[in-house]
Amino acid sequence: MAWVSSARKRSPWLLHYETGGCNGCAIEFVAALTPLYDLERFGMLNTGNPKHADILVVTGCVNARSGRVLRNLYEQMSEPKVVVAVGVCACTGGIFHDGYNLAPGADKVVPVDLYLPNCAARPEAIIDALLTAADLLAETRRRDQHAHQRAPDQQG
Amino acid sequence: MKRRTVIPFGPQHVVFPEPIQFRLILEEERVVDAIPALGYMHRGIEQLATVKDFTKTLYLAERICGICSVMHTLAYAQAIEELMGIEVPPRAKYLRTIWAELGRLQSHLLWMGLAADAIGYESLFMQTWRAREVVLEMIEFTEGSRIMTGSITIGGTKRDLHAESLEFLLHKLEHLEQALNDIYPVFSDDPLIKQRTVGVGLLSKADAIKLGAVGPTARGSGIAEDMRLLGYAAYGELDFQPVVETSCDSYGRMLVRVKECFQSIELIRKAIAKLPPGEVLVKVKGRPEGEVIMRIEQPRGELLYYLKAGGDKSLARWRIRTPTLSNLPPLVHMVKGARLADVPLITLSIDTCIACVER
Amino acid sequence: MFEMLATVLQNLVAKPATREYPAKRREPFPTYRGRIESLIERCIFCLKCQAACPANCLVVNRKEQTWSVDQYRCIVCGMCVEVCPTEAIVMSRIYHGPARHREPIVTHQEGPIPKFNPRAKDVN
Repeated sequence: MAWVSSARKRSPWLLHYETGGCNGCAIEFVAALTPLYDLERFGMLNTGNPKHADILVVTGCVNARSGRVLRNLYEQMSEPKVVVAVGVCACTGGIFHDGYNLAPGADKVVPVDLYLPNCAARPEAIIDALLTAADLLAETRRRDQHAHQRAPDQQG
Repeated sequence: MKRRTVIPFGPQHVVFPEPIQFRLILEEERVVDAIPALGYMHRGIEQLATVKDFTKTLYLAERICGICSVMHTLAYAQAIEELMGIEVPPRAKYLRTIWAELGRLQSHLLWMGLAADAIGYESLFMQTWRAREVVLEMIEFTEGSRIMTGSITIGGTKRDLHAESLEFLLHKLEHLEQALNDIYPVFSDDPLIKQRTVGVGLLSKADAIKLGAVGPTARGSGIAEDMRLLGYAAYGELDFQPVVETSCDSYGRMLVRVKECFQSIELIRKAIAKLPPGEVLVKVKGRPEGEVIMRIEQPRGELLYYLKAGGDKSLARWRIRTPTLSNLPPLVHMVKGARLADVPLITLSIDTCIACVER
Repeated sequence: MFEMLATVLQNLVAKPATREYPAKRREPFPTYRGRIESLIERCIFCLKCQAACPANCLVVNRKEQTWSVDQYRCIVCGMCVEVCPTEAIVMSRIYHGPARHREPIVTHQEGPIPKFNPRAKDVN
C-alpha cells in the first residue's frame, strides 16, 4: 500500500488556532486558503475539529488563558501531529515578549516543530511552512510504521 | 418552565478567526441570554505602553489589531501630535487618508467574505477574498508590507507616493471597482443571502442609541454617525456623506459595508486628484505632556483614545476604547430571541474584532 | 441561460485566479520589507539600532564586535535601518522561511572598528 501513503503524504488537514496577538497572521492564513494562493490545491483542508486534524497552526502570542485552550486542542489531536508556529508572536512573543501575562512563544505550552517568523507572515511563507510540515508529517508517519514493523534484532 | 441548556460557543470555532466565547442560554431553539467571556487575546498593551518609549509605542499601537493597523497608528500619531502641537504637512494628511481608506476597503472585504462563509455561500467568500487581494496588492506596493504597514508615523508619513505608485493605484482601483460591481448584486439581491439576513438580528434605532452602537452597526439602524465627518486627516476637504440604511437588521448592516467599499474607492480617487505637493514629514523633538482624547472612524466604528503623558519618555496612561466593545451590548441584545443557527451570523454582523477589544 | 453561457465562456478563456506559488514566484515589489540584514564591515557599534528596536531583538556587543539579530522576534518595522548612521543594516526583499530551530543570527566583525566620519556619507 505504498502508493496510498505516498498519495496521502501531502493531504494533511489543518487546525488553526489564534492564541492572541493581532490577528494579522490569522488573516494571512485564511488568505492563503483563498483563490490567489489556494492552499487546497495541495489537498490541505482547514477543519474546525481537532480530532480530524494533522497539523496545528498556531498564530499569535500565547497568554495564560488561551494557553489552556491550545494545550487542550493539541492533546485532542491524534498522532502523528505537527505544530507550526506562524509569526513572530507565536515564535517568541515578538513585540509583546515582555508582556506581563504572556508566555514567550508557543513552545512553552506545546512542542513546536516548525517556526515561521515575520510580522505578519506572508501567505507564500505560510505555504512554504505547511509544505515543509507535510513532509515532516510524512517522515514521522514512516518512522512510526517502521517502529511498529521492526523485528527485535534490527532494533538499535 | 421550559428546560434551559447552556451551550458554549467558541473559543475555537470555524466562523471566528479569533477566540471569543459566548455562553448561550437556550430554551429549545431560542437563545434567551448570551454571556460573553473575554480574555483569550489579552496582551497587556496598555501596560506595555507605560514602559516603552512613546515612539516605540507607535508599533505597539499598530499591533493592537492586524485588520485595522492603519487606523490605530493614525489615531495614535494624531493624539501625540495634538499633545506636542505638531502641524502635519498637507501632503501627509492626504496620504494618511488614502492609506486609511485602503485599510477600510480590505477590512470591509474581509468581513464580507467571512459573512458569506457564515451564511454558507462558499463561492461568494472566495470571490470577495479574491477582490481583497487586489487591495492588498495596492497596500503592499505603496507601503511595503501587506498587513503591518508602518507608513504613518508621528509628524507625518514615512513613505511618499510617487507618480508611478499613483498610477498603479488608479489602475488597480478600476480592477477593484469592476470586481465589486460583480459582487454587489449578489449581496443585495441573492435570495439565499436575503433569507439568512433580512429580519435577523433586529436592532431598532432607539435601541441602537440607548445601547451605544457605533459605526456600521449604528448606520445600519438609521443613525447617520461617522467620525470622519469630524474632518481629521484630509476628510474635511473631501466631500462625502455617510452611508445609512434603515432596515435595522443584519441585511442593512451588510449593505452599509458593501456600499462603503464604493465610497472608499471614491474617496481615494478624490484624494489622489487633490494630492498637494510638498514635504511629508516634519521633525519631532521633545516629549509629550498633557491629556488628549482622539476619536477616529475605524472600519468597525468609532475608536476612542485617551492619552495622558507627564513629559516622560513613555506615556502615563493610554486608554483604548474600540468599536467592538461599544457594539457588544447591542450584540447581546440582538442575540436574545434569535435561533441558535443564526447566532454566528448575528455575531459577525457587528464585525467583531476581539484583538481590539482585549488588547 | 445565455448569461450563464457567457460566464462559462469567459471563465474558459480567462487566466486562472490562482498563482501557482512554489512553481511561479512573483517578483517582490521594490518597497517590500522582508527581513533585515547586516553589512557588518560597515558597523561602528554605536548601539543606536539596539536602542531604537521596539521588539528588543538586536544585541550589539562592542567588546566582542558582534551584532546579532533574533529573526524570530524582529517585527520588520525598519527602525534600525532608519537610524543606522553608516547604513550597515539593509532591508532585504527576501522573507525569512520556516525553520526547525530558532536561534539568533550572530555576525562577527573582523579587524578594527571603522572610524565614523559624519561627512563621509555626503561625499559618497
